[in-house]
Amino acid sequence: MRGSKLMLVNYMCMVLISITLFLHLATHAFLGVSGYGASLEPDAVKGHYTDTATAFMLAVLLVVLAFHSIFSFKTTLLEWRHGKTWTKAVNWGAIVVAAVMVAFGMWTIVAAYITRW
Amino acid sequence: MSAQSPASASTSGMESRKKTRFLGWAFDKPLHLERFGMMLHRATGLGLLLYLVFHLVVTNAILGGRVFFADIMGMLSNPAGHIGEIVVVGAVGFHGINGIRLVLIGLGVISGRPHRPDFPYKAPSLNNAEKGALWTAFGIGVVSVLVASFFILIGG
Repeated sequence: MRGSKLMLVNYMCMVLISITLFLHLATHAFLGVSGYGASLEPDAVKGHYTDTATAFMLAVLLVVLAFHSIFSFKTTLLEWRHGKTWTKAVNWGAIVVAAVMVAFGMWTIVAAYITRW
Repeated sequence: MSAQSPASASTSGMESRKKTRFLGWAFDKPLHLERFGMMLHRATGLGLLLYLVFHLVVTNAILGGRVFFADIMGMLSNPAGHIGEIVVVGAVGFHGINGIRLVLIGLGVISGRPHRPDFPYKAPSLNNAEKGALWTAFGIGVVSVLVASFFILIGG
């Protein structure tokens, strides 16, 4: 994919991050919880994962955050140094790191969604 | 005075140029407001990336069961942990608003399209709209810290 298209995807990720991150923070501050401390109780946290809408929102947040953060870090690394080998290593490294982050986060979300205490 | 061969002098010169390039974008003169904003944007971005990895690992503890998760939360629930969370929310506030400013500049919305430099030369960057947006980002960062402090320290 061309760099300009990736940047457009990055812009869309930024919009989605604004919405989903606000909702995520709200569920730990005032949305459906009595306070921040109460929102970190094991049952409250588990409730975030077992609720389908919240779990889906967390999955979307995970994917867009992983893309935005790794894509931006990749851009910084490519500004820092140049060269064919360096560019190839950074591009592949970014793909691998982003994939690992998404896989690890999805494992948490899906496993917490399907397991019952 | 130590004698230095031309070859070693050339090598040390290259090393110093490399060092300058590595941090050149950050500490090149003049250190004006926009450069400071860029430094802070990258610092908060890198910090938030590290926090994201940490957050993914910590939340994975929910799979270990109720007691295990409560133990992990108990370990993190201390003044240093709370200050760290407040700093994270402040960094999110600044990084988010400054990111919007950078997108608006990139799209030419608040900095205008590039044009031929005519005398008297006037830098198109850091006009009032850009300065206002940057100060708004700093302000939102501070407000985020205050709101997070309320919810974490007082409202919790």
